[in-house]
Amino acid sequence: MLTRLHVERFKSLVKLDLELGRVNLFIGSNGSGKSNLLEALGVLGAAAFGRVEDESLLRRGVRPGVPRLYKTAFSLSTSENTSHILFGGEESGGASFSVTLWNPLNNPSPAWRYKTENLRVADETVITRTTTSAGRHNQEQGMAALKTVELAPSHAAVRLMDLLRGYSIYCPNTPSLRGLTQDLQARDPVGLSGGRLPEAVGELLAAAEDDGLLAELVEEVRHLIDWAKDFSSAPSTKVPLSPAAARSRLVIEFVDRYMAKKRNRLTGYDASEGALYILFVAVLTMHANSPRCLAIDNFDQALNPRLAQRLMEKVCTWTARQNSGRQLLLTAHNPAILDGLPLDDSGVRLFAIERNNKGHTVVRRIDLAGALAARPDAAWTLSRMWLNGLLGAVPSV
Amino acid sequence: MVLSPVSDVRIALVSEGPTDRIVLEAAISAILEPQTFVLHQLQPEGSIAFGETGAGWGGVYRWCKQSAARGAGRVSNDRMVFHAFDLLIIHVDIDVATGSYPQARIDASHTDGILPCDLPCPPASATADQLRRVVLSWCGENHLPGCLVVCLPSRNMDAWVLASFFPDQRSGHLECLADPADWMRQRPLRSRVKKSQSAYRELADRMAGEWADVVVHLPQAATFQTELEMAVSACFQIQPVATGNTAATTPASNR
Repeated sequence: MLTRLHVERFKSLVKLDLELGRVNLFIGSNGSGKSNLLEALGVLGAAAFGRVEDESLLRRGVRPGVPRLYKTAFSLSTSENTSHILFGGEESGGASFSVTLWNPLNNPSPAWRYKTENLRVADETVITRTTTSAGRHNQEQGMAALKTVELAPSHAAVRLMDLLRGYSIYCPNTPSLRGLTQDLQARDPVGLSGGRLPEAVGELLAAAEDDGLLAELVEEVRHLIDWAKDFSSAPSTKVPLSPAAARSRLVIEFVDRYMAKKRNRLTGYDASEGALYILFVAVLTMHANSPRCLAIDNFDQALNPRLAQRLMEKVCTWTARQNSGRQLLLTAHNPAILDGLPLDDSGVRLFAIERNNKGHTVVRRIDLAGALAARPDAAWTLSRMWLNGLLGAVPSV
Repeated sequence: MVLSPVSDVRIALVSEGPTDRIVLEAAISAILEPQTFVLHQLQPEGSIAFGETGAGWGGVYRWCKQSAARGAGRVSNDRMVFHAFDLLIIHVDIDVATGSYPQARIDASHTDGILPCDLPCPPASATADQLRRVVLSWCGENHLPGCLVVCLPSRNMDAWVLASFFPDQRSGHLECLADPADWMRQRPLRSRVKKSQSAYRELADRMAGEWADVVVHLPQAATFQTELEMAVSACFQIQPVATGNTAATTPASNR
């Protein structure tokens, strides 16, 4: 699990040092820098992959940008205003990877250049690239990425680099979830926009047949979709679907709880989009092939507040019960989400993302126990505190 | 581990309107520079659907009452505010002293200070002192608690804007002007300042740059600066930015 993320001079993140948990929820105004934070980890993932360019960034759900947009554009002191951007991550196994990247603001090259790299496990340096040695090596190729080829898969450094390489930012959209448009970022088990969801749901259900715990968790997913008796993955030729609808090979089939028998089957094309978002989150949380560390931007979209709250609670318990080491970074805007956070789970963290008077993004971990102790009575839920500005992370409108 | 040298001062602001917030933020920037801060505007809980808004001094009054209720009668005991923020600024313009509770559709309680409480201006401080007691009564406080700043800028906060951009007017009794925004609006086109959020945002940096001179000429601005500096000194401690926020603290005076 990634325990620490450090970023300097990337977009609105002038300097950031984050201690991460298993489930990390980021709240803040629109434009406060939540997506920048998720993308910073994506750039570190691309650097761990060995090449930082549009293709490797897009693959991780990071918006490609020219150096003028990537490098922070604030007026900084001379000591802070260096030409490179810095990213670093530490894993619970003791491995750490940090990299500084640069690209000229004028006439930038397609690939960012590595200025320094440092891959370590505790006090042992696995590989390092310094500014003095930079000229002797291909500056567009990450040395740490190559070095990991020589190491055993169980090596802590390899585990960290694999975790970083696999990281992606998911941002589902309804047409992709319904299978109506192609997901341009196809991945296993699901694409970054939600493509391939029927296949992934089918795989999850199949895996649950041989895994008692997974079967229990999938049953909890069924409970979240209260209007449906069941869901499954089915060939699109065998379900009622408008001829005008784009057909993929498989579709998600829901059995409606209220409709008459023999007329109670509908596909993801016709079903409530909320059900598709729940399945999407369930797949990312439970599927064996999901990245070990992933982000879902706008985790709560399309969900009724109570459903969003319940899904938040379930994601926390699903990841805890599976104990697979999967780590989630989530952004949300629905206050009800906060009421689904289990206070007694130390792996769950809530962060407020804000802009200070200079416009810099600042991140603050909200002390949930402290918030609980501060409230005058039980009528004050976390969501109510947030709406009233008492957690910060709200716009001044 | 690399740490930022300081964290941001977290300031909660309860004020009459959005342009006041912009002017106050510019003033706070100038006062606290180079210390950075996060400013959050708090509003009373309510539903616009039910006719409850947070605008105007009535909104400030309602917020103070709600906060005091959470704090067993005193804003300074409202732990939800001071758990999330280092200090609280409550702002009302001094012209509130000319108003009355019924005008603002407020059913005042017997503990609320008496309005109107207007006294001849100049000096602005005479009415400001009266109004400060009234605001503190809304907060359930007899004296100003350490982490609370009551900002009473002048009859109208736009006087600070006027003083920033019209240096030749600074020697007048700007704090007693009833409508500085109207005066600025009637200037020739080249020097005209329009009261709007976007116009004030554009001018915020210049306002901050002029603050040192504004303070010299406007006693209420100087009072605000002194109180803010004292509150920051008493209530804010520099912390490393590592997000656990549990690291050892350094006295603010070492900043």
